[in-house]
Amino acid sequence: MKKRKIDFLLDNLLKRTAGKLLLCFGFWVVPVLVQGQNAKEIVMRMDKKWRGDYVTQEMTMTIIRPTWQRSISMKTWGRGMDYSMVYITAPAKEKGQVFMKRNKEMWNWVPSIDRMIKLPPSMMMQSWMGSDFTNDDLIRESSVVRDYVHSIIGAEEILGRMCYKIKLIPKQEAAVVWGKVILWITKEDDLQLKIEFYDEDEYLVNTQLLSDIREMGGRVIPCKLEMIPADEEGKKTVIDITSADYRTEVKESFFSQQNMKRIR
Amino acid sequence: MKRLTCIVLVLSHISFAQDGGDFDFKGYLKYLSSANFQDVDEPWITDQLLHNRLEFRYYPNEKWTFDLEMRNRLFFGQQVTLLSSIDTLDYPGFIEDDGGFFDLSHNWASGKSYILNTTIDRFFADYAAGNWQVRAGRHRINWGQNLVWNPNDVFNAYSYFDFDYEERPGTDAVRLQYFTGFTSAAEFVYQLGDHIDEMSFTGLYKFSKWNYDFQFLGGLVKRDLVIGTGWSGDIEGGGFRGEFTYFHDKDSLSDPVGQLVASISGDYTFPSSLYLHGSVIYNSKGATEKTGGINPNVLTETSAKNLTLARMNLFGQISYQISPLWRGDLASILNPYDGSFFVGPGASYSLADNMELLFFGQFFGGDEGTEYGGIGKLFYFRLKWAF
Repeated sequence: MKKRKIDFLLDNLLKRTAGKLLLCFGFWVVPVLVQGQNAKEIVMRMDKKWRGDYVTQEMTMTIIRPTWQRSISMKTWGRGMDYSMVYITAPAKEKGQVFMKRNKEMWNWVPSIDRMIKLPPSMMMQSWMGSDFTNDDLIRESSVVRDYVHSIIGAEEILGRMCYKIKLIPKQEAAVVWGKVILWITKEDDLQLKIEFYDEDEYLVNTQLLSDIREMGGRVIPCKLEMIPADEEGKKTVIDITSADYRTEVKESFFSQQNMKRIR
Repeated sequence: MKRLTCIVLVLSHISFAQDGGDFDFKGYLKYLSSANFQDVDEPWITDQLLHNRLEFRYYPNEKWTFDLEMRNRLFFGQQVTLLSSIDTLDYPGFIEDDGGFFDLSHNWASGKSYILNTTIDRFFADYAAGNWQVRAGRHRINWGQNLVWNPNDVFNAYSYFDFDYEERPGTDAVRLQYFTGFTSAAEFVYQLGDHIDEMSFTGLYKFSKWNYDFQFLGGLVKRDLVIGTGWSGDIEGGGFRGEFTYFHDKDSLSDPVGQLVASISGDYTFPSSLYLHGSVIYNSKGATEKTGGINPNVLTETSAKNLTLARMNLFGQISYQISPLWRGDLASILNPYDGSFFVGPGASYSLADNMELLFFGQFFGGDEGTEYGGIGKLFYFRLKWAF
């Protein structure tokens, strides 16, 4: 009872103080809010365009190191934020494996042993098949819209296109490994062309460059993604999108364990 | 072979309206070399295995799938010579023994120091329509949830030490599945047998709830009435899995005590890719004194009832992606009753997209007559080319 009362008082006090602060600093607080709203809207538009309502893609990921490289190819299906499926098509060693995400849950189907393995969340932050991408980067558990606070910090030209430079700071409760993310999004058509990932001590960890902008499957998208670890000469992971379809609906019912065993 | 001919005849008469269809082929070739000794200065026993796998899959249309997979193995080396010289063992016969309802294993040739064997371990037809799926023939039915010991895997439990057989054997059965939702299903399995004591009639229902996968199973597995449950979920991001299976001999129901086999495990992956995994297995019929040893060279048919000979075994594993090419792994098993243990260090190296090297050790320790005592040390080297 007592605690409730204290909570109520604290709550009231905060509201009143906030109200006063807003009155005092209203002149500049309001434009910042508007600008914050703009930054969020730009990121939302970019994310919607990039992700689409649903998308089917084929891609090849190549891990490049100074003395060697390894490739893995896959087909992917996505519906909004919450549903995705990945089918490995090459190399032969991994072919046939399937990963599925439904909301917060993820499964891995291993056909050679007829085994459905439920993947715990701790596996999400692990590097995907030894690349510079994490499971999270590919399955996209965290959201650039939902999990961050956004602000425009400038404008720069990339690949001859004028871009907003937007800073993303993760929300306290968000399950994000980064301390800060900076996005470059084209002013004209909401495409992200560059992403910088910083750790909690504000050191640059990875840079992602997006290029080869073309029409594919009904949208103009960057078809080449490069993830470059900072301070590591000659190392990167490249994803080439070889086909995409944003037109054909991928139904929610597609993302089932039954279908994991059937797709190819 | 008669049974096989029947199936082939039946399959060849199923006609398909559509022409063509998709065909899939893959496989691998592995060369496994091993050395076994008690002490490095004592004589070594070496063994070689050339192991080829071929997998053929045909999809005539959306509904049907036909699958044929086989392993061709050439065993040669001192181990073969040694085991073949034991008259009571009949080592070539042991390799050729199929163990299933169909006899799909054949030794093409064998001598004092070599055996050439082909075993078909997958051979099935699959039909899926709507929420239904039926699969008949030889295939794997895997009901396990854990990653080491699987008391729920009542059809084809496997020995952890047989690491080279990645696909595991199949079961000759008819499996009917009905998918009740996106992540839930009910299924029924009839395992073929010559005699009622070799048949199984088992059902399973699985579903997702509270971010966990749950399953319940029950039925008759050969001589035992079986009931079990398993789950997969997470605690604070780490995997948390478990399986409980209770077996009771159907011919001695008056006996108040059956056998409970249970295993629980936890695993956690750090962002650095460091992976920790621990598990425990409990076997109510297991021994609390010296169990008598296992022989990893002559792995007898493993069942979910004898995953361990002891009342309890503990498992621990740590693995780490040293670089995108190198992966290191260290696993260990302890029998806390007789103090015997297993330690398995391993490292794999990716030579190319489809080529991999594996260095692996199986070190067993313990007193004479204990579960893991008297086996010695085995070193393996394996080259694998997948195509």
